[in-house]
Amino acid sequence: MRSAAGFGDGGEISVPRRATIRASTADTSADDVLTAACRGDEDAFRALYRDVQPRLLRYLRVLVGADAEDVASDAWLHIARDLGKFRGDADGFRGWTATIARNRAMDHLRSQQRRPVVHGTLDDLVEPAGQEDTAQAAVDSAGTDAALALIARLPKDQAEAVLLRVVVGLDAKAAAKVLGKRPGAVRTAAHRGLRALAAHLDATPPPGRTPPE
Amino acid sequence: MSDHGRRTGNDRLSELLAAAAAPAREHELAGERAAMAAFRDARLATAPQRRRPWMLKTALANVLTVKIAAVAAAAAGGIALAAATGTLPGQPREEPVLPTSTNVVTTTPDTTKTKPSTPDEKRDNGAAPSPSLKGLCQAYTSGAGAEHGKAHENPAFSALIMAAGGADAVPAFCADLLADKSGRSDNAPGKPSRSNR
Repeated sequence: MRSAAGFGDGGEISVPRRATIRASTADTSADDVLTAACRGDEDAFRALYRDVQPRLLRYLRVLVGADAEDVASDAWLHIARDLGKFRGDADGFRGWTATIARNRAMDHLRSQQRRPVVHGTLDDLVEPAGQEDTAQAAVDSAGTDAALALIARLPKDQAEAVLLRVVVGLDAKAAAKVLGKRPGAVRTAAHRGLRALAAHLDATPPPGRTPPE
Repeated sequence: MSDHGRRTGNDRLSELLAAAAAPAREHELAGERAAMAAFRDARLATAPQRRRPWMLKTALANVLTVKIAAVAAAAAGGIALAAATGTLPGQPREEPVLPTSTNVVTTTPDTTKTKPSTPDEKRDNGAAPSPSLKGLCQAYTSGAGAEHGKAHENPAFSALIMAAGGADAVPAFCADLLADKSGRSDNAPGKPSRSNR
């Protein structure tokens, strides 16, 4: 496919990604919050939870489907217990929590003797949600679910790579650590995943509003 | 598809990714309370390691306080007993002058012998060496305002709790015991349960 704006060949993603979930404050203050939480500050921990939990939940939904909430709760027990042992900055914290969430998800799948959920192919999803205002639809609740559902239809390694990078907010190296792969492999998987998504959107008429033609 | 169509697809990819990473929605934070509880539990679990020396010291101080109070109360009880019988420690005892109407001294051993199967057995058991129980009661009630909850766990109070027949019964037991002392001095030490009958 031809090059698509939005990501480069190196798998760089130029989407407004970190300006999104829970208006992340400046990184220095994010580190301060993390430090305070590690020292036992409840408000700081709550702030961490509110920032990180949606990311983990959305990532987990692709791994374990409807059990994502249970697995996320399980992960947070683990996170709360081991927070005192964590060393690193706010970026490292997201990677650490993603690793915990993924491990819990794998345990869960093993215990269920099940394969990760696969809903079907990209083409099964016809339209994200019948919203009148497409620009608004992109950021409202239904748009989020639709976007996640679409990503979940990618091959699992691509879906994971895209979610870890776009939703959890990890760089390729950190995502690779979570997945136990080389950064190059994660870049490639993310790149392919985004290309597949773009191709799918290319071939699907925008919902709600017909393009001015 | 046309150029226009492809650009739309890429724009929509950006929108899609932005939507995937959109701000938290209410239901996504439903587990917050449980997570906070886990955080508190984890913090409590690690806290004793840091606080242990301090806690030990406090517990030790509590035990000492109780002991001192008990000794003081025992002494006071002894004096009260002596006063009731007209004999103070260190004073020569004046032999058979006691009138039979003031039968305080003799009743104490009698009650345990003559009524071993009373329904209030427990209290009778504890009642015999009561000066120390009274001391414990005084220590218990004086500490009631401050750290009532901890008093139950203090080993120094175990005798008191046993005598009362349970931690819950201690306040009532002590109320009886102490009321007896201040209320009717002629019935002084040893028979808190009599007033109940």
